[in-house]
Amino acid sequence: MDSPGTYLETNLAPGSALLESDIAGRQAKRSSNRLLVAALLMVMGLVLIALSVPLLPLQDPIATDYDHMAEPPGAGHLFGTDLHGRDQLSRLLWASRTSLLVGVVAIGLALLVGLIAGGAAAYGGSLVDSFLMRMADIFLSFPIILGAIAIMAVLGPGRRNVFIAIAFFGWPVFARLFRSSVLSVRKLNFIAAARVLGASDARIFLRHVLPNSLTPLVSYGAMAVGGAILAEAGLSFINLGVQRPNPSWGLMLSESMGMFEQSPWLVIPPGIAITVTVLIFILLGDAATRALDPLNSGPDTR
Amino acid sequence: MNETLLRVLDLTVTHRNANYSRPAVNRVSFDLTQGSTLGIVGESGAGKSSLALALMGLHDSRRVQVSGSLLFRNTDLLKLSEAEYCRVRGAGLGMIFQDSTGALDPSMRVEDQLAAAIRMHTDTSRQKARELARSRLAEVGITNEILDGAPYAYQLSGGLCQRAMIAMALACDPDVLIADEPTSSLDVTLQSQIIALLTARQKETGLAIAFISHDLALVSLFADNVLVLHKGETVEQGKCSEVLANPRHPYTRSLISAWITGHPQGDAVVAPA
Repeated sequence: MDSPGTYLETNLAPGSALLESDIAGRQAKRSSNRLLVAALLMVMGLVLIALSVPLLPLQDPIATDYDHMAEPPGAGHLFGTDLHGRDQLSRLLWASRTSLLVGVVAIGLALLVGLIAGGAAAYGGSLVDSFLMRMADIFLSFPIILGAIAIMAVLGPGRRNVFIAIAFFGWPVFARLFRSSVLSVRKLNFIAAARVLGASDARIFLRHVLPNSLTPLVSYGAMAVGGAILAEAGLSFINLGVQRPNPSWGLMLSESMGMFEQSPWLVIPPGIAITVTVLIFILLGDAATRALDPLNSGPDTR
Repeated sequence: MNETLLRVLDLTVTHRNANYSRPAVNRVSFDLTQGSTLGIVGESGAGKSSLALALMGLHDSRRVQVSGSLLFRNTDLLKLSEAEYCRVRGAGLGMIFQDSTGALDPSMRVEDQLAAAIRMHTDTSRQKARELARSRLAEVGITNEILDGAPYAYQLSGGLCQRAMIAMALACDPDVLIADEPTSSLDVTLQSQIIALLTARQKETGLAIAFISHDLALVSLFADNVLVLHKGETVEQGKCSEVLANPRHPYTRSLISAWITGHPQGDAVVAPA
């Protein structure tokens, strides 16, 4: 084996490997990585709560107790009881499972459909491309909540139909993002470089195009989970989503809306839960955008 | 006598769409023998890149028509299927580009890209391919130290990316290397390092190089033969020294004088036309 530098007149010092501007870039990178870690920890916290709910010593979230209706927070019920005497804390925590499940399943479905449609549009020639993208335009022209209401009206209320309704209107953005991302990545030089090395089309797609096209989808996907949770809350609020007596933050809000002045403990906690959960996912999406993009290693200009 | 590796006969590359059809390269012929360097020189738009893409079979076959013949070790590449061409690329014909930073995948470690290239053409274990990739990178001056500190292409300087790309193109020991303006974006010291790297490699392995450039002065420093393209036509072809000493075509003369006038001691050699 030749020793390093056989072909060279000058050897390179290891330090010269890095551009000087790279130091600033690395610092920016590190701070965006910290943001991502923080966001991921918060999401993991949410997931942990949702998963551990059945193990916690909570009261039955459905059992009514008409001797203790609308009681303020106290020793027996930390967060008080609702209008049917059900434990508010227990309902709040059980509802987190519904929210997260809807967010993950509905967005997972939308992502899957979006990847297939976007990939087909990017690779399928102009006819397939125009057809799929005009379809996406049609779906995008509906406000998602109105569209979801229409679907729920057809399919009937219930959690499974919430998944379908949200995914039904969620896929076009993923499809468009993936398509445009694939189209721009395919033009990049390293794709040509892979081709001159003899890589097949399938290999180029799987090893080079796909990994480099997913970044915008991951970021948008995280934010979309927040959007889906909000949509579920909205649908349940108007009685089209999760059905009584199952707990859902949207449902809890709608049941106690009129009682805001008498028993604010029924209205404020689910409101805060929705806001905080949605914010955490938006934060995750934002952090992912900054941290995952390998080209975004320069100093943050924002 | 060295073996002829690549024989290009009457290669014509035509760009066309519904409204027009224009030859970017018109009936170009040349031979590339083992261990030799052919400089392909021309200004922007002369058809250099169209020629390079056609040689690698990378042209968009819906918009670009290629005719003539491209004999690589007596196989006509133009008659190969896409899958067969894939086996020739990388292992028989290699190519390097001007934009080296962009030629490396930002989401893959540089050594993994080399290892993947090696595994595409040879039956090598993952572990072995990675070791081989590292030693190939060391040969071009990218030590393990550099790789451990900056494993991704975007962390490397332009010169190092260029070296990495050369190592990648040569990872499977192709017989012919097509270099499409590999040094045009580099400064002069890096330029000479890269050319030293290529010629040393050539001496060792008998690599044939088609070096595409707009810079006749640079090409004349190391090329054996030169081919001057102008608007897709071959205007001059022959031994480098002969072409420079006795340019027959006015376009070549203007290229030479363009170089001479830009040269510090230029007017001492030839007066500008």
